[in-house]
Amino acid sequence: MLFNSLTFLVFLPVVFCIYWFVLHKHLLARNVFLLLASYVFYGWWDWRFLSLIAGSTLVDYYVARFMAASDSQKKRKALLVVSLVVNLGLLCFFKYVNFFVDSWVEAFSGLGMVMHTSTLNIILPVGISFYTFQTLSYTIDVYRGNLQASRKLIDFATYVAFFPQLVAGPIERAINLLPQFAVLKKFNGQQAISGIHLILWGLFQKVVIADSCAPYVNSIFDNYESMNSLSLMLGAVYFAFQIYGDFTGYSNIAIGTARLLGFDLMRNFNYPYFSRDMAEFWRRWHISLSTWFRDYLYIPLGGSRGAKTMQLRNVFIIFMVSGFWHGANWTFVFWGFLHALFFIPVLLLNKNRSNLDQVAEHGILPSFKELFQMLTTFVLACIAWVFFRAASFSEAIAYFKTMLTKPSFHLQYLKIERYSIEMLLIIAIFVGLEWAHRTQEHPFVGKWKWVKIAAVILMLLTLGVYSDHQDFIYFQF
Amino acid sequence: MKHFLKYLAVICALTVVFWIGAGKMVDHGLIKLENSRYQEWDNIARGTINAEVVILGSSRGVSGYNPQIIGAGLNKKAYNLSYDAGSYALQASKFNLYLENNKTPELIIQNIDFTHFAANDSLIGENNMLPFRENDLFKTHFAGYENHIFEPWNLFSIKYTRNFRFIRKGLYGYFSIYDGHNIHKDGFVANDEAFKKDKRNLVALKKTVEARSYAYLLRNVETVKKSMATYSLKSEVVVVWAPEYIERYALAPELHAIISAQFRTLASQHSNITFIDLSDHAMGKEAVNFYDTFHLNSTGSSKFSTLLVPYLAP
Repeated sequence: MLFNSLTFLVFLPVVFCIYWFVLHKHLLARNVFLLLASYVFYGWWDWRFLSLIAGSTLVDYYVARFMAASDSQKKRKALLVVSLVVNLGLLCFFKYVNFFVDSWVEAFSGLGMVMHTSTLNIILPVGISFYTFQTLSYTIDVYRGNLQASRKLIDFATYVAFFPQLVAGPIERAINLLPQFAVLKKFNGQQAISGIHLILWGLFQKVVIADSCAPYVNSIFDNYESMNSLSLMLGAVYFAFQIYGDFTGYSNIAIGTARLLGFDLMRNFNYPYFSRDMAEFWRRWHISLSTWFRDYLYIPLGGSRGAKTMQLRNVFIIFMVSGFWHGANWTFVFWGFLHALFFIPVLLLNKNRSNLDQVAEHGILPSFKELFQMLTTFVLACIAWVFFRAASFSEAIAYFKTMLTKPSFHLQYLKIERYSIEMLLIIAIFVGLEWAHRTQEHPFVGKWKWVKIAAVILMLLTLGVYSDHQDFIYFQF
Repeated sequence: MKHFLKYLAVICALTVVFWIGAGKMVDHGLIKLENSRYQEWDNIARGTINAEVVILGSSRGVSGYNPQIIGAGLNKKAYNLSYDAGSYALQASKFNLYLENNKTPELIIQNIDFTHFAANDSLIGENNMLPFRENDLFKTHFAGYENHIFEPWNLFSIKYTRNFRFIRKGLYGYFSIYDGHNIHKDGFVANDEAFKKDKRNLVALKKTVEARSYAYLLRNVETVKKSMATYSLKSEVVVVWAPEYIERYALAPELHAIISAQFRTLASQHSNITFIDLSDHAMGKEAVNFYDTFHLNSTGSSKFSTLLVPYLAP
């Protein structure tokens, strides 16, 4: 079920009413209901894959229970390995088997050896990368002793399948979300209103910004050979806003939906395009994934301790694994590699923690230095996004080659699409709104709140995409 | 909870008000656009055209027949009701809507040519009908075509979403700001583009003729003839084959002979029907009269409309 569908428009009010008006006195009944609702939400896409979630839930629940009951470090480690093998095994099977087979065949054919293999017709279960990482964080935290194993299967199952963040995050830590299922919540009006604000803003980011950019992006990337430099640059910029609008939109709707039900999820984006360096970008982009990798991969590898060579190795590992997490394609791995390259200078200069505050926090406009830094970071992100969006590595290279060898800057694409001037204007308004509210979660604050709400509703109605609504990009990951 | 529900109600109310309000505003603005197709549909539905001479056709009708010249020549009010890119069935549906709300014309001029008889079930130019999507009159006449604007599910979507063009045009119209893209005059659109050969369509016609696969065209000729016979009960009907560009005419002399013979016979059977065949007129030999191998340009349409008047005069 998609957040931007009519089905969800019916589903959410029904869940809300039953949750608050019918089951307001029974915690267990509420959690059972949320679990069922979450399974319906997921099963709407393909009910067969519910068994994967249920299986993963059972394995991790019992692994953690046995872990908690055991004093033997060896046994606890073995149980952790079971959890890792089952979860990562499923993820690898569904997401990476064909990639590995193809890569092997290509590698051997490069050596002049012909291999006859056939790939499997595997459907990638929606959101598998997200809920796998979520359950893994639970068992690892229990193993480390940071968290007590849950004693209630229903609570744990609801934590794994909680529908607002099931298919595209935020990847919640059990330490934050699981205890929230143990409390019989009372309705909090302010929390629910902030939820509505986030849903409204998230919808705007998705259906107005991301989905309006999508046709331009598709058209430019599909016809990059006939495009000039300016069009190809615009293509990269449009994609930067498409993927940002798409993913931050989803996250905001997810967080807002959870708040309607009384739950607090972690923030996933914090205006990443206002970052002054790549380190800051990664503190603001897909925060739940970056912190996951930081806590469960980077720090165990040694993090920023030790010799510089070790630090560099760790940076490359974490970024390339992060790229691979996004998809079984070398383009994603290279995207991660590029980000590592962009990150290295900041690390070598020990500047990776120099921009911890919000840019121009006490001013209206940034300084020239800050503006230059933000633009540089954005351009670097756009360069990497081309690899992320391209169908293949060679296509991404050809995209840049065309950009550099056709140095023409007339509005080639804008002439075809007469109304793309408005698209750029909408992006400019969006950036302006985000800039003006960069210290807030969303723009619906202050004395102009209702004007902004009204304007966003009007734009949702007039500029949004509904009839041919598009999937969220991050579903595929 | 009460406070939250009130808050939610305000947001829902705003949404509904904007939904209806923005839609109505753009509807109204589009209809207000001078000489636009939206305004034309509105005029047809409100019955404010009431021409004495009505011209029917497809894109060749739109660009070939100048109603001001024809009207002045006949001293009657003339209107070009041709349907750009519309099949003969769509032309008939538009005319039926017209007849239902306007006075029956004294004279109907029906343009025909090689492609007039090709059937097409899709609703061409459906976007021009967007302001009338909720109008039962339009549903009655156009809901049968392969289209989606009149389908019930569409009620739940917002018809102008993502259509910057419509929103912009509608707002221009609403605030009476000139929009230079609306150029028809009494249904006629003068075209001054430089001549270019439309090879794809020439090849298509050539293939049809070479394969002699025009049986379906001849079946449709019968349908059009029936319509003409019906129209002739209340109006004078003149079926006109306008000058064809020489290359196009030369492709299908046999097909031309068959179709024109059919209409000559029709004219001989009905006193109110006349057939005027100007398809091989000398005008067709000069590219200066055309903007492509199908359509007369503004020079050609002026010459042709002037040429046609004496044939139409009683």
